[in-house]
Amino acid sequence: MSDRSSIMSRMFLLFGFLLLLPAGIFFQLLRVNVAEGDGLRELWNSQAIDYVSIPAERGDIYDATGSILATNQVIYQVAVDPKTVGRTSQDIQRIAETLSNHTSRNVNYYKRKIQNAPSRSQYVVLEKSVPVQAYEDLNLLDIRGLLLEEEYRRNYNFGSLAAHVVGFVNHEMKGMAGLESEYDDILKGTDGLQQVRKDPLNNIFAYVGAPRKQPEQGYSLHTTINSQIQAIVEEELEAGIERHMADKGTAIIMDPKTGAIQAMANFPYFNPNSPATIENENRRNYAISDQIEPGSTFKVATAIAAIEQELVGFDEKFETPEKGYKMIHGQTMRDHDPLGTLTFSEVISKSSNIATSEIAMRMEPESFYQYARNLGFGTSTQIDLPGEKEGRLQRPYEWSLVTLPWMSIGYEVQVTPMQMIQAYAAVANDGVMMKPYVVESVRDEFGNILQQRKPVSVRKVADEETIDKLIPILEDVVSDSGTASWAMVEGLRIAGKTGTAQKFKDGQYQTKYRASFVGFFPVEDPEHAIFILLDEPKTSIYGGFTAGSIFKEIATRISGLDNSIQKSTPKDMIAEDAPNVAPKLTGLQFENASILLNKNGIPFKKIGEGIFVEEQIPAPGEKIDPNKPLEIKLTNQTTDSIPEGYAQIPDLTNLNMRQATFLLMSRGFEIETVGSGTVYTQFPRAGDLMKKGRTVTVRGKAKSISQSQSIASY
Amino acid sequence: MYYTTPNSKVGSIFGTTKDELDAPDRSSDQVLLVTIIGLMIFGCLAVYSSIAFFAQSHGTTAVSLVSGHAIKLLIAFFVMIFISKINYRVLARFSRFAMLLSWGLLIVMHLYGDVSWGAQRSLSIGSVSFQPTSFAAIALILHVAVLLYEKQEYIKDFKRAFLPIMFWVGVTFVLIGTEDLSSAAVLMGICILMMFVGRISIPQLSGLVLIGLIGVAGFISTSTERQSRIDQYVAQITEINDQNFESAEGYQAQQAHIAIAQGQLFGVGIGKSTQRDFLPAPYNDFIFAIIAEEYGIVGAISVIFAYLLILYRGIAVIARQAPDVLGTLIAFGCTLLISLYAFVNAGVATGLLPVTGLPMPFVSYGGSSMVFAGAMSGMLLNISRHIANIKTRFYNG
Repeated sequence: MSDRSSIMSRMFLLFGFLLLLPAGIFFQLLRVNVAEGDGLRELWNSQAIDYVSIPAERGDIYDATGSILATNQVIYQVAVDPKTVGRTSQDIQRIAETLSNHTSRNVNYYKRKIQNAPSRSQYVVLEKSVPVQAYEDLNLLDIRGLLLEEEYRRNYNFGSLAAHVVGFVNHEMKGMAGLESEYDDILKGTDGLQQVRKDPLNNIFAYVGAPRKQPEQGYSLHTTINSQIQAIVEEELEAGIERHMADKGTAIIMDPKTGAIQAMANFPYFNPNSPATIENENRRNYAISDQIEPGSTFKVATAIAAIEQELVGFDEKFETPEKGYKMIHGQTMRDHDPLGTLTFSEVISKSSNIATSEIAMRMEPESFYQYARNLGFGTSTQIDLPGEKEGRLQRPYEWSLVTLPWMSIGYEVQVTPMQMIQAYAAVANDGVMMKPYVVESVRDEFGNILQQRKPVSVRKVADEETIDKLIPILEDVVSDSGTASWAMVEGLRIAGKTGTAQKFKDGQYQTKYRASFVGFFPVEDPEHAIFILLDEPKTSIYGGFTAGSIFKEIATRISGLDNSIQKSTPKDMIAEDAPNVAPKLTGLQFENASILLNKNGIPFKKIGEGIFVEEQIPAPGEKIDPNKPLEIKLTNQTTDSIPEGYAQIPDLTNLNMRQATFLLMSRGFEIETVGSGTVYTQFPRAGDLMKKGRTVTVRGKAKSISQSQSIASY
Repeated sequence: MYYTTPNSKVGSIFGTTKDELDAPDRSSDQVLLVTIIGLMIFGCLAVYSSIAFFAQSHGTTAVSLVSGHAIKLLIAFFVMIFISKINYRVLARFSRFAMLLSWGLLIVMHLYGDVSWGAQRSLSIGSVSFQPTSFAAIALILHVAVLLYEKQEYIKDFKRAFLPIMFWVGVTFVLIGTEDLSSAAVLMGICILMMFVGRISIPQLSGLVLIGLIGVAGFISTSTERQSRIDQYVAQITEINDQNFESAEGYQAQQAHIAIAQGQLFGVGIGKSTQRDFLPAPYNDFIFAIIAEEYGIVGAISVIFAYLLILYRGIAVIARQAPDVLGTLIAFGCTLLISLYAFVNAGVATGLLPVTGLPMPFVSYGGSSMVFAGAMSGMLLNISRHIANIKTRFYNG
């Protein structure tokens, strides 16, 4: 072999071997793609592409009058894409300056944040939540690469109003209590999905493509809660609790004809806008979850059972012991006072325990149990609120010898406030018991009704004749001779029953009481059934004095609201006492004062010039001399009419958010904004006086969602 | 004249004969030239796709880096054309000088070199920085070819042929290897293969390879880090999907595989790579993975075919038909260096080979390796211009 051919053969031998390398590379290319491809592409999916959800807007919760109890506040997140805006550009300076005008941070903070961002980041968050004014100002800058994103936060427009009914959401917008929890699935909607790219550090650095799935907005709830009635109830309940130095309390108002809950309040209450600040116990809705021994209010069961079974005569006389108590199977049955001889009607209206238990002992335990059961005791009312308890109604075989007499007066039985009002509402509704409910209808974002509730009758709890006999007795309760004289409202026929129950704790009855009153009005055509319960009132243990007086305040104010409630007071009575005393005019604008006086036919003359009434003769409440006109002295000073620390709320309608803010700030109010754009409604309303420093909520016309999203995804 | 006599040998290297100054009979190998230009242009695209992250982290833009890359390509191209005009036998005369110069540069680099952008040190002369390693590689290949050519008469002689050649190879290996072991190992392999082709006795070479293997085994067993790297390689060959990588190499290999799997048959499209964010030096060591991702198996195989074409033209055409042993050996060495670098780069990306940091010639981002790849192809092209002479010479001789 020659040298040359030796070289050639050696070279081509190597050439052959060298071909093994590309062959191996081909093999690996195929192997990685085919054999391992799926697994590797899976890994790619998990590391490079991710989805973030586009939050759906949670449905609103409305009251019966159309006011929004719970809605969403739009909060604005501000971010920049340094790749588009740059890191040190003039635009950055403008963004930082605008932002710092609306926040407590300075310009350099934002500039540093942008400069220190990772080099390839396309999404640097500057502020997580800025006010709408900042949002609008930033929007005006019109800078590409400035990313303004809207996010929703739950907002309860009226703060603590109906908080126990409405409930609240947690930081993830998940309903945690009340309607928010019960109807969470309906309210929450379905989040959309947005595809994003992530870098090796798992940071989002770019939004890619169009949103993969648009969010479906949550449905709204239209409730039966009337926020005006609710506000009255809450106010009076709180005032009554303070007056009577009670620990806590509950009030429920229900429409007896339908079962619609018009108001439901508990004290103490909480502000669902910041539920974390409230103790857990206070968040509980006592109205449906407290199981208590009711006391005398339970006598309605005894009365119905006795009348239906014809165990009592209406002319029958019941003797009660002079000493005021009686032994039954070794236990002392006591009346609040020695009551002497009573008719059946008086047994109930004066609430004699001794006579009631005597009547009850005429019955078979089974039949009494059945009547109590029929009235809904011991079973859930199935109201559409979470956390309802069933109470406890012992079955006859569980009873001891003293169970029947004591149960007949409301001991040895546990009921919830909801059960009690349902029972009395049934009495008010000619014996037909209605299922209580809070949500009237479910509607979509355009207001189309998706579900409409029809009132559901549960059962007939008593014959109409029985009811006809019972109602006058309950009316007698709310009379000068009954136990609830404090609940009387002039001109309004009210039927009801008081209740006072000793608290059973640690195995024995304490010298602590629960006082309650349950009633309905107007008796001719009942529109409202009200239950009021106070825990441990200190002024008196009696339901008539404590709960009854709260009932009175509530009933007075509600009936005043409602034109359909005709007070049965004769007309001439009004004419007689109307112009006798001077109305309070001081502090009013002259215009209003003159309208008031003209309406009542009171002659008057003004002294001096001005807008406001400074002084009046005679003074408010004093008798008017029919021969002498009422003198009113005018002034331009508003100091008298507007007390120290208060200011009048301006009308903000049709102002833009910035103007509204300015106007409110100038009067010392805080502003809370819902939505953006121009103001179309506000709360409280214009003209009201309010303490400075309080918050006025204004609602702007919200921008459409599609518009807002075009900002976020580019 | 293909057969050289001792006398004519001395003359051909150090003297000027009429034959050496003959004008070449034909133009450069057109297939080779077009392939190289094609790879260079394709490389610009691939670098542009993969360099965005690097550009951002260095406060510049992909466009400016790619422009820089294109300028280096242009320099490399002119170097290639310039060298292709110089008779390889003239160049061969300076091989010993180039060798000594490269050693000097390597020593200076060890003492004063800047460490920048990874492990490979470079020397800066003014604003131009270059890597002496690349220069040493080309000098060594040229010089080994010259030595083998000179010693053809007594090539089987251990003392006169094997040892002197091994002296140059060994010293260079040590000088490069202390800095960049994988480059040194590949270069050493190329030299051994050249010695094999240059008719060094097989028992002598076998002994060398045996000693080399023992050295490698000892080298690996003395370091747990190197052991785990081998374990990692074994794992990567047997099971690609293993997610519990403990080493950076394992992570890199997996990310490269994901890139390849992501590309499937036709790739995700130009500039749409996502794996460039997850791979280190995607514009250099892992550029093949990015090519596979953006252009799919089809694109990756096309690139491999381009290097196969270079390998074929370089060995089966140019080395085979070179006018003398010197031309054959230089052509063989240059071809081998270019194609082996490319295959090792692709082999690393596809998981065929353990992770090393070799660039893909003409394609990867990086200046001096580009210029020296240009110089090597220039020599190859020059030899291709003398093919006609040989043929006539063979027929005549």
